[in-house]
Amino acid sequence: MKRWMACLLALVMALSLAACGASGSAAKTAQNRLEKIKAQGYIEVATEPYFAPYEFIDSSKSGQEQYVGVDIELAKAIAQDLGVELRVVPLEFSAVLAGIADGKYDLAISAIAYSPLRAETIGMSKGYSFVEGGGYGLLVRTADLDKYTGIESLANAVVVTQSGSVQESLVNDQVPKYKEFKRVSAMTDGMLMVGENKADVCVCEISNGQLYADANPGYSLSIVPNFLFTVDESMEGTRVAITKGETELTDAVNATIDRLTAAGQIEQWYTQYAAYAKTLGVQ
Amino acid sequence: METMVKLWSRYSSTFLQGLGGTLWLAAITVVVGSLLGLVVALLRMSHLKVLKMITSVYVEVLRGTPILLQLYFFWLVLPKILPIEMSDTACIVVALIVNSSSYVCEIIRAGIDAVDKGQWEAARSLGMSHIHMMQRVILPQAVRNILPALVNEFIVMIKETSLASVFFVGELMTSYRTVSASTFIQIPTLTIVGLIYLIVTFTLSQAAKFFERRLKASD
Repeated sequence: MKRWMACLLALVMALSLAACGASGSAAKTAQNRLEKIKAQGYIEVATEPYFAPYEFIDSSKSGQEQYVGVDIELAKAIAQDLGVELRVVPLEFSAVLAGIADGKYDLAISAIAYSPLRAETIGMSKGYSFVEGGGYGLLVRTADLDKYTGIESLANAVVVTQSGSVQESLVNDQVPKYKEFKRVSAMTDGMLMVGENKADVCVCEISNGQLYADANPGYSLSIVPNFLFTVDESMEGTRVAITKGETELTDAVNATIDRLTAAGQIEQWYTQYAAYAKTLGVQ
Repeated sequence: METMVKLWSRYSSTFLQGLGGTLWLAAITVVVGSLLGLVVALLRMSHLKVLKMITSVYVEVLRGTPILLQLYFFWLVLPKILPIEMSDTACIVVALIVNSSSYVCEIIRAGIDAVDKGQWEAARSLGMSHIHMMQRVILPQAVRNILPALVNEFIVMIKETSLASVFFVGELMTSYRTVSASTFIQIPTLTIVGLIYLIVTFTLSQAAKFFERRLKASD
């Protein structure tokens, strides 16, 4: 009995030693990410598929086909330009950011906006989506439309937005006074809180907020008209996130973005997928 | 209510797929976790001090840290230290199995401890070896204490697997996120998913009660 246990223990130790050795040798033969992608023949792109019309799931399809949206089209274009197969990896947003910072995946394309804090840990591509009529605004209950008109009117409001988002830093930087600032893990939860009277104002991307308002007529929500947060030019547009230090891969991604932007392709996808997202609702 | 019916008629396959994923995950976790748990429990009850120490650290660490933390940890660290390619789902399944094994270990240990002292003494006085005694006398009686608790562990795992939705392993909570994100309708979707969980866990706990009564009947 004892001998048997000793054998088992020895085996476990041998295994863990082997594991250490393997990771050591893998690090030595490191090549840059772009070469690795081309050699393996596929590119892994992490995304949080819960954000229509940028990335969402069409449940009537299966496998890789079910992921649709503007960002998925962009990912396809990048894969095509590199001549490799695309593999979408769905994850929650916090796991998307953790995964790309750690280098677990090749790219993260998930309507990721630029923020200086993010840029410290993650590499960023050029901005690609500057959709007209987009931008960051306020979602409120329709009955409160005359109460909340802009930043100054928020002094007595309970403000909510997604934690770790650009919207959060906008509130921190630009809103001088609020009654309370709540943070939630998903933007839709913030919008739900406004609908359920748990918060007064949700700071959100206005096209996303409008989709939510349209899908939940029972809540009677509206976007505050004629108001947008002023966004620094360097912060504009959503980005492709890349593990820090991968310049070759960043250049390749930027080349694809340049090509698509010049052709006006992103806007076209946006219109197409905003309509697509509406057909998935049940109202 | 009307929204719920509409959601169900349009997305029932997504919900059922999620339910399948949840049951599959919980089942594989509890089955493999039980085997691993049995090994850990036997090591923990051995007379070697070193083994006792290692296994009690194992159990304490796994039971003393949140399962979500363990999921993140395994998801990030496992592919780095293992020489073979690990898919995300594989990492999550391993994390759940390891977590479950620590609970099962304690279930088994308690089950064996609960066997009457007289049974040990009787077996030993007949001159049985330790392995023989375990196989023929102690374990068969311990199983009666252990099985109902294992069904409970299965019910617990069904609920715990919801945390794996962070990594999109395709269980029931992932279905909720998928549907609520494409329809922007949350509360009715949550209600549907909640009802599915409840139906499954309630059925299982009734089955466990029945099972327990049958095992007790032989007393």
